[in-house]
Amino acid sequence: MSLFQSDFWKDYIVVILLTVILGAGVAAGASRALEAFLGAAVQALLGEAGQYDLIVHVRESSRSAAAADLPRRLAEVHPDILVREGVALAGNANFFVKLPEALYTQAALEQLAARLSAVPGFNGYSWMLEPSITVTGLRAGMRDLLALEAARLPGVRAVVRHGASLTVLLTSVEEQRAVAEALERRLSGRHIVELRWPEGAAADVEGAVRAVAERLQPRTLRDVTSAPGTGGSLERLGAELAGAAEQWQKLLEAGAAAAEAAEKLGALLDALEPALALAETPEQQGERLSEAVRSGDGADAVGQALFRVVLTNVLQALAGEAAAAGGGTLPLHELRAALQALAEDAVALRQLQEEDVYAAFETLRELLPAAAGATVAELLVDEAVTPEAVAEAVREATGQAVEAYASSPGVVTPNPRGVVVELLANARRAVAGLIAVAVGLAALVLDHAAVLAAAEHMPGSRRGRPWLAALSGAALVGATYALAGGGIPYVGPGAAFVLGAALGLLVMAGARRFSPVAEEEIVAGQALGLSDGQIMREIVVPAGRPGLMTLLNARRRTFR
Amino acid sequence: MLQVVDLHKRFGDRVALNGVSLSVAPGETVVVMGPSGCGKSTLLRCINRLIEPDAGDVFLAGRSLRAMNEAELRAARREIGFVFQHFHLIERLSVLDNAALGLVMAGMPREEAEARALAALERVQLASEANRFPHQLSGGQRQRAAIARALAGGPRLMLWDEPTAALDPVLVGEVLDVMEELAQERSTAMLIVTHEVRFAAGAADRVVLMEEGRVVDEGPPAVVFGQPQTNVARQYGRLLAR
Repeated sequence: MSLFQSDFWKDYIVVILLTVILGAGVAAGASRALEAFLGAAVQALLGEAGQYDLIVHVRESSRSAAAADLPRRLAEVHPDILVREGVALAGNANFFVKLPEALYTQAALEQLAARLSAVPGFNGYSWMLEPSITVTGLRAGMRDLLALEAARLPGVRAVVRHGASLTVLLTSVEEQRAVAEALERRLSGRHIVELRWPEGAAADVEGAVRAVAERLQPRTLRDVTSAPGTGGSLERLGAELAGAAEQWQKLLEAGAAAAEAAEKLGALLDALEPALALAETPEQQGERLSEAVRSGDGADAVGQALFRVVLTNVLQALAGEAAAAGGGTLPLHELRAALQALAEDAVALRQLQEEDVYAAFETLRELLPAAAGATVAELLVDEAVTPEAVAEAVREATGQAVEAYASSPGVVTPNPRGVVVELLANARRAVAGLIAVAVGLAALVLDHAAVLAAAEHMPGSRRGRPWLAALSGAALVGATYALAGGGIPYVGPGAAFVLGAALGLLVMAGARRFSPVAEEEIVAGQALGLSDGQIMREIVVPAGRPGLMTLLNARRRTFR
Repeated sequence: MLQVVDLHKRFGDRVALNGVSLSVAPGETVVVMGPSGCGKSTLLRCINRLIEPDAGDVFLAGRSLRAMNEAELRAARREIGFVFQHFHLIERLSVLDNAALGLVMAGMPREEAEARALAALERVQLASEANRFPHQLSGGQRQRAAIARALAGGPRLMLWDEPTAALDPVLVGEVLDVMEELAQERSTAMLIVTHEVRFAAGAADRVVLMEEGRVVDEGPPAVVFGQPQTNVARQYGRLLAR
């Protein structure tokens, strides 16, 4: 291309380099300013990132006791743990806890969480570790397996298991996408198949795993059955019980009703006791009735005698068999004692607090796992392996009539701040990318359209014009995009170079319109024996639109 | 000085030049005439390769222009002054700079180039307008400025592409006067494309008549117009006789 046989090419390259550097600076600066502005707004809303690591929820009624107990208890773990009491919400006092760096390990975090249940009024806790990703809906076995795998991922600082979730603490927020994708890869395309043996049957879990492996040959097969004492079915039982607040309320109401009923029954007994004390045998009743008739005291005396007979029979009917077995007399002292016990139980029921219920659940977890684990197995297999196929394989191999159900292995959910930070970073990248494209396009129109339009009239440069346009566009847009950290969805760095080349060709097609050049002046220059580079420097560029090239060229041209 | 040998040029289906051959001796003035579209302007542009001919050759002082590389061609072009119909002045440059541009770009020191440019402007009686810009000049002045630019390099050959065609009739005279003076000086060979039959009859050593991309008649003006052999010659003869 004759245009580049002169030293004009140096100017051209310098202009492209300067455009890329300045454009990338503008794009990166503007996008980071936008991110900082939006980030400040987010921080005002959510608080400073990493300010606290944990919120301990305590029943508001126990706030004072917890305020004294929690710092002391946490100081035993590490003297540098900071505790600040926050606002009370929905009946819960909240204590914000900041942990020292030394505690950012799985063992330390999980042990710390285990200690919290002893805090007076303890009503749960929430991890605020940042930056982090949380995986929810995990079976205990799956959770433990994933915890091991996640801990080995690059960018992961620590993992914390809690309930049916796993919180993965990252080394930096930039790792969020990569780690989330790595966790997604471990979950997607797989599911948990839960095998249930009939009640009382001796489950052959090993045989079942072997049967699935041999008969279905899945790419993924892991026994993630919850180990005894770590949850599993009981984990879910605990979760279900913990979530049964409504049923708990009904239970309390039933207790109150029972206490009231027992009280009223007691009062009724007190009222009836004198009458019951007069209860007579049928023989005595017959004699009393005959006496009343014989005495001639009249209808009143007969009526009273009849009333006693009826009342006695009614009471005996109420007492049922117990009264009959007692030879016709009611065991009033036993009835009274039973009512008293019922009333006391009801009062005790009303006095039960959630902590006692949770304690009961924990006891259940300790007592029941062996029985639950014995009849349930959980296998992580490919999604293509259906529960029906698994059940069939186990039945055929072991002869055991098992039932199989499929469920999701877990869901990756970056924490809200992480999502917002990720969104802001995406927005920054998109803005940087858009600015980079705009800068590249502006440079093409302002600086390069004149050159491309003029090259059309230069026989030595005409053929290479499309290459010049495509390469200039690719360099301007692609390099600016990459340098500015641009990230428009679906437009990677490679695509940005292609986009730039396309824009270069587009500008070339409309070069005359974007930057009209006087063809006759170019022809005059050619007739005077000027080179293409001289024509560009002395005739075309000075007459072009103001831009970086015009600015640089002004210092180099001879005729100012 | 100039030899054009069997020059051919097509634009798509249209034949612009169909085997044109002619020659211009040093100091000779040759006028090319013919109806519009007969290939006159194309011939001039093919001579200095502003348009690349399809076939044939052009020799300047015995050197083939078609065989030249770009650098040689640029050097050859500096020996050929070209005057365009529409002046083709650089609008952002002063008249003096327009005239000096080719010299400075060829490597001549700026002062020397400007002195020669000023001398060329004096030859066309435009030195007083040296520092003005093209848009500040009349059409005749602009064309004289363009002539000065072509003359400034001291060309061996001057190519004139209808230099008066874009001028108001009242301004044509001042340009023709300059052309006549140059022709009389006989310092430069001149190949002039024009419809100015009186100028041709008075100033040309030879007249070349073209029609449909070919040379149809050639000779001294008195012979070509006085004893016309072609319809084109007869038409110009009648115009001259009016």
